[in-house]
This record gives sequence, C-alpha cells and structure tokens, in this order.
Amino acid sequence: MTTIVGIRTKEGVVLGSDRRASKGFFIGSKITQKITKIDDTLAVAIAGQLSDADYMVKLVKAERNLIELRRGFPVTVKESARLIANQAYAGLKNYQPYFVELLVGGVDQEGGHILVADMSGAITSEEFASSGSGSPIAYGVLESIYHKDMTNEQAKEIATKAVAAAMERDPGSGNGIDISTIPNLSLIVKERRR
Amino acid sequence: MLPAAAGYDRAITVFSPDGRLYQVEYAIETVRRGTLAVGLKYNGGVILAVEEKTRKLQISNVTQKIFQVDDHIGVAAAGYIPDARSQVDHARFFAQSNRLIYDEPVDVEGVAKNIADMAQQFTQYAGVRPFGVALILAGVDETGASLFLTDPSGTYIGYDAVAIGAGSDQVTEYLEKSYKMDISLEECGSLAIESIYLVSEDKNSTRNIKMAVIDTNTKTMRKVLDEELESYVKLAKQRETAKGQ
Repeated sequence: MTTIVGIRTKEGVVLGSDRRASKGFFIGSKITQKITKIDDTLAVAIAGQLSDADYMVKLVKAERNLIELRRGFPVTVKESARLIANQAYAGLKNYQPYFVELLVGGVDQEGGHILVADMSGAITSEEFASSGSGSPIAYGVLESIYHKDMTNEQAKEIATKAVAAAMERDPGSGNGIDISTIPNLSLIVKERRR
Repeated sequence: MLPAAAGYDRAITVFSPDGRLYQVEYAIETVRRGTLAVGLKYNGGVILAVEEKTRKLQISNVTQKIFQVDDHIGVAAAGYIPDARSQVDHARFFAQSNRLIYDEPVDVEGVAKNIADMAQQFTQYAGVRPFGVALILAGVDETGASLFLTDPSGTYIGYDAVAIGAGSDQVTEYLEKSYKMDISLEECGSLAIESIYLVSEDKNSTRNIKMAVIDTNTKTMRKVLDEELESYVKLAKQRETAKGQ
C-alpha cells in the first residue's frame, strides 16, 4: 500500500507521498508521515512495513553521524543509500527481510540524487521514481509529463499530480499529499553550520 | 626508584602497602606534562580552548586536541593524545547509540560517566595500561551548558571552569580568582586566551591556540575562526593594560 514519488531536478530533489497507512482493508491512519528527514540534505520516502523502515532510517542516521565525525566530511547520498541497502541485503540473506522499498533523496557536492533501495539490497539511481501499490499509476503520470531541466516548483507540481492520480484509483493510497523539497542550497546551509 | 616502591609500580592491579596505585598516578603525571587545555562556561554556552604547538611546516588547520563527539558535545584533551582519540571514538559511539535507542541526544554527564567507566576498568584489569589522558567534556543538554573533567583514574567531576595540562595549577589559581558566573561569550573567550597566555611562550599570536564554542541556542559545536580569536586576544590585551594601570 502507499504511493511515494521522487524527482530529481537541476535545483535539487522533490519527494512526494500520500498519508494513508493500511491495516488490511482498514485505514489504520489518515495522517501518516511517510517522508522522513535524515538531515538538512537528505530524506527518505517510505513504502512497505513502517516499523522496518523506521528502524533502518534510525540506524542510517546514527551511522551517518558516526562516519561524518570520524572522517571529517559528509556522507554522500549514494553512500547513504548503500548503508540502507547493506542492511536490506543482510536481512534478506538471514531469512529476516526488511519489507520495504525506500526512495532516498538528497543533495551533495554532485547535486541532487534519487536512489531506490529495495528489500533485495539493490540500489538504482533514477531521474524520477515511484514505489508502493499506487506506483504503476504514479509512473503513468510521471512518464507522460516528466522532462529534464525542471525547477523544483515544477517538480512539486508533477509529484502532486502523480500522487493525486494514484490516490484516485489505488485503494491503498489516499487521505492527502505530502511534498518535501531539498534544494541544492541546503548543502551550503549545512556546511556553514559546521 | 626507592626500594619501598619496588615492584608496586609495575602491575596496575596491585596496591602498594601505603594504598596507592602507581601506574594510575604515573598516568595522571602524563596529563600534567601535556599541553594546556581549558574549559569555561559563559551565560549562553561553553568554551573549549587548547594550546597546540605547531611546527613551521605542519598543517595547522587540523585541530589535534579538540574533538567533536556529537552535534552538541565537544572534547578538549591534555596528555597522551592518541589515547584521547580512542576515548573520543568510544564516546561518539555511545552518543549515537543513545540517539538510536531513545531517539534523543545524549546528556553530557552520561557521556562523562561512560568515558570515566571505561577509564576505571583500565585501572583494574591485568594486561592493560591506564589512559594517559584527561578530557574536558563540554556540551549543551536539557540542563543547559555543562562541563566535565575525566581523568585516567576514572574520576569525573563537573566544573564551571577548569584547566588541565602543563601549567594548569597556575591557570586554575588564576581562574579561581578571576572567573565569574554568567559572563558573556566575549569575556569568556578573552579569559580563555588569558589563561593560555599565562603559561604559553608565545603571548601574542593566535598561532598556537585552538578554540571551539557550544552555544545553548544552536546546541551545536562550532570552531572559532582566526578573526574571532583575534578579537578575543584584543580584549584580553585591553584587560591586561587596564589591570596594569
């Protein structure tokens, strides 16, 4: 259940999600936050088992902080996705998989990145991506109106449209839309803070 | 070494007949011979400052004696610095574990106690040596700004202002006379500079001084850059001339 989307732009990244948490045929929550901030430059959109995803996000937060303190410079988006994927892979190989598919979105020295980390431990880097039960519908929208050289404002609009379309036809998604933007500028803010 | 102490300064687990652990005392002596480190509270946070002698060709923008443990906690060390790196790494892990388990930033006393616990263990077990370093732990938590000192024996004590390393007796005496509660950041910064100049050979430049501040508003440790450091030196000089008149 769920619809989440992520779009990479020249100005950063945009993540979008619905707000429904399903318990079988019952709507467990109508105000679920599926986009979790890791820090000013990184966020994760969650599809799948919320408890598994929360645990992975907490662990990656702690690991990122430790790595940054130890080596003295920030962890990239790709490295962060790899930390998550390594957990997922270890889980899979131990017959205790994490039932998640996460969209990792963030900015680093190279600009914005959208990475998909699934329960098999695979990572793919994408221009745009979607996950969850509503993703086939969301992809339909994204494939038809996504184009390169978008601004964050344009990407927000497209992300909203994609999630809205999925909520119309997918019973696992609904109850409103959350959109988060991470502009490339947030990297400067973070560096200045240090 | 006098025969009275013969043998008792070898194994750390063995008390001497007069109830002393010589290896631990030697470790504390290592701290005394290290370069100066100070920690001072002000009315909106806490300052760490160290004297760090850099050779002419050494890359001096990398601080050797001040460490960041978490966003809101920093450490200044005196003594055998490689041991500090080991203790600091332990503290970093402890701080992140606290975030992982409780979803909360760790409190400063908790970290001080954790470091002290480890130091104590290294005074009791065979085959190990005590840490040759004392740490000034500074941070901001729900109790406000907080400052602790840990030493090789495993003692940890809270302070408003503290100095360790070579010349720390003189500096402590000076601080006990001239430190006041609720001073501003500027006053505190200049007091830290004064403390280091008190025992330093170079009493003019900021070349041998490194400083970090943790503010109660931002709850984040930041490095004090040269320009700001110079302003504290200026203030320290002003106060010195005012006192001389």
